[in-house]
Amino acid sequence: MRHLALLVLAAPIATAVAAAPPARPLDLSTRVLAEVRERAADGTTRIALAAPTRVVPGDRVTVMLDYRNTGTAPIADLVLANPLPAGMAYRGPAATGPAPEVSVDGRRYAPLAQLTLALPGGGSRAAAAADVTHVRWRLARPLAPGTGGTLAFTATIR
Amino acid sequence: MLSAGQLGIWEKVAAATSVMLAAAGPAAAQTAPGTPIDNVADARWTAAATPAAARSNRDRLIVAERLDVALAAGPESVTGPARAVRFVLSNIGTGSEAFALAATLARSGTADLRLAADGDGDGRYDPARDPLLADGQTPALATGAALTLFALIPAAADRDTLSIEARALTGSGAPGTAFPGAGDGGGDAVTGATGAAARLVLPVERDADGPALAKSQSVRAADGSERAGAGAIVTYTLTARLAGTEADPRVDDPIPAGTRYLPGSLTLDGAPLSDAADADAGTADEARIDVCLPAPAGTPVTHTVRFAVRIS
Repeated sequence: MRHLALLVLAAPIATAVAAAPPARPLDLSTRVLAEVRERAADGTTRIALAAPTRVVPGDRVTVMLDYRNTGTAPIADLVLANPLPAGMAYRGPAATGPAPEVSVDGRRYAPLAQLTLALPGGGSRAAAAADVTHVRWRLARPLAPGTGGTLAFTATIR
Repeated sequence: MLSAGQLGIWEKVAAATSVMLAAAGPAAAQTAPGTPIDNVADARWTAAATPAAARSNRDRLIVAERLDVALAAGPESVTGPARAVRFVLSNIGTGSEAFALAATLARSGTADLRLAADGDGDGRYDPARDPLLADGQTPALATGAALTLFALIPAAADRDTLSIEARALTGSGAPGTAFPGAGDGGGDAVTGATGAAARLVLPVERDADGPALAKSQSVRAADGSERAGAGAIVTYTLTARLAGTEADPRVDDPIPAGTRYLPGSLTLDGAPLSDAADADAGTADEARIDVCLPAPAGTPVTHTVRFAVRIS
């Protein structure tokens, strides 16, 4: 219930932050990198991440969120969220790091297997990865000053 | 450079192409080349019992254009002294793209065969309606579009191998070859699995023995060129090869839509035939020509019927 209350309050708060930016205790940045296959000298292939200059539909990308507490006090109840931009379909968690909770409507978050999608003619079906509209991570512990991390998920260009 | 008449035909090409797309069913919607995809993350937390929020930078990528092409043999080929071998070029890349084509006969060594697009979309070559490709290049084709084309085989070619090559005009090369800034919408273009090149090899067979009727044509415009615009004269040559045993052989051919019969142009083996239904072997009117051939005397024989039309 606590997170629900946070979400309801979020819109007006965001406006206030934009109007008079205070000292930002949280540094948040995002990067989208393309997955490219690199062939090693021994003939094996590995996936490397590269700048997404030649991304075409069907290509896989990794979306990374870098966060850091640049303030002097711990940051509690931190929720990091990423709406899927148009043209990008959610694929799954990154190879390393925690898996995000996902949502198909931007309101209810859960593991993908627990989500359903209402059908136009009534009834519902199990949600697929491509149905995901938002991902988020909730940090269990307060983020101490000077610490941070990286979260990531993978997606496909539609 | 296209004449005004050819432009009209290209519009028909575009219309026919979109019909083919509709018939092929809706393709999975792909993000168009040049489309920006912007990612923004946000954060919410509690500071001193007060909700706070922050937003990340906006990270933008521009979707590149994937260049791919496919060639396929047509359902059948039209054979005869001037053979038009039908094939289909498909733009299976993600952007709008024109393609350069080259056709070669391996055995006779004939390179740069003339190529024509099926301008009226009827699947049959007709020089009055199917424009030759200028410089062997197709018009720009939308993603997913297919264009029916003809390779025009010279009459002398016999039991040969036709090789057709197509390349994306933007560029081709090993899969993954990039052409910075050359994609639709200003992004990069990059070759897909086909390398943006395709090759089609087809046998060119000699006509089978037995009766056969072949049709060929030549175009002469007022300016002396071969441009098939309004007012140009198209002369059709119908070559009937008879095995020798046929009774009452006869050739009839409808006047193509969009053209008018040129009165007095009907000939049989070079001799004029009057248009009227009278004592001679032929008749011609706005709808068709009809010529009774001399009955063969047991040995193979060839007769040639010619007539001309003016493009409306």
